[in-house]
Amino acid sequence: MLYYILAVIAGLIPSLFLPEGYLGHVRRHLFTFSLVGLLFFMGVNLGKDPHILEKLADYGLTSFIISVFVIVFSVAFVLLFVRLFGKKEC
Amino acid sequence: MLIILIVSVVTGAFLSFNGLLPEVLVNNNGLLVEAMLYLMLFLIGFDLGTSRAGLKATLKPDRYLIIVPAGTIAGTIFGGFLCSFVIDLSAMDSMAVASGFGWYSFSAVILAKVKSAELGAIAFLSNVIRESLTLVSVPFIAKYFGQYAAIAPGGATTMDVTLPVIEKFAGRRAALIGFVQGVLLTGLTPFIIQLFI
Repeated sequence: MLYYILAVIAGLIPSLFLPEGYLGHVRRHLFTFSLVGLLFFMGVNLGKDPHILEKLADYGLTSFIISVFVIVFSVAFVLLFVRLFGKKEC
Repeated sequence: MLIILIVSVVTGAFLSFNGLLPEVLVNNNGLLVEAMLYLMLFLIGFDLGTSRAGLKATLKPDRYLIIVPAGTIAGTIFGGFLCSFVIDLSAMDSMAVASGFGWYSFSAVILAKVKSAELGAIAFLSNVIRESLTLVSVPFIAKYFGQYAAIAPGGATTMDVTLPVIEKFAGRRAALIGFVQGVLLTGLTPFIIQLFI
């Protein structure tokens, strides 16, 4: 976790000495590259488990229902908390 | 863009499952994921630094850094509790699985050790599915429910895997709150999961 924070700081510090919007175009392409690469290798990680299809068949529906409930209610609670404790719009 | 993201995951899984990728890529998969993550986090830092207005806004004390993670924790546990009424799991087990907050490796290992292999498998799958559904749903949630709501589904993964999607579709401010939520939940998950086992 510490390394993740250090990676953000490593990008932040040199950029403070560069002009605003420096290399914006290159950055956007690199960002898309890292995002696609990240998701591709996440897929590789899932696919390399030879029992992934059996696991999906056995516990897939239960797991899917839990995920959907958790996502729906976490979104609902964040909206509720923002409404209750967030800044009031003028 | 969303289609490209989905195709990336599916292609990686398909090629790997069918043994169509070089061994070196499959064996060093964890290392490559880390490398991509570091590149992405570096770029997020760089982007923040070259946008002076964004940096000023980021450094301001912000109540949403607490409100959003608190809503995510409460909603996740409540969702897990309600879920036990429609699936064949006790409320405690269902909340324990939900308390993985998308961190599938940790929650699966803990629950398999302390409870049962079956619950470990459900924790693994459920949290993998949460992460995957987050990647697919963030663009829609950001569009129809706003930037704060888009941070919620990712849980603890908003500091790494799902952060780029949040940045892309909900903006830089949401990415910052998402990063803080990820750090907080990664630290809190081991304690929260203990409450239900």
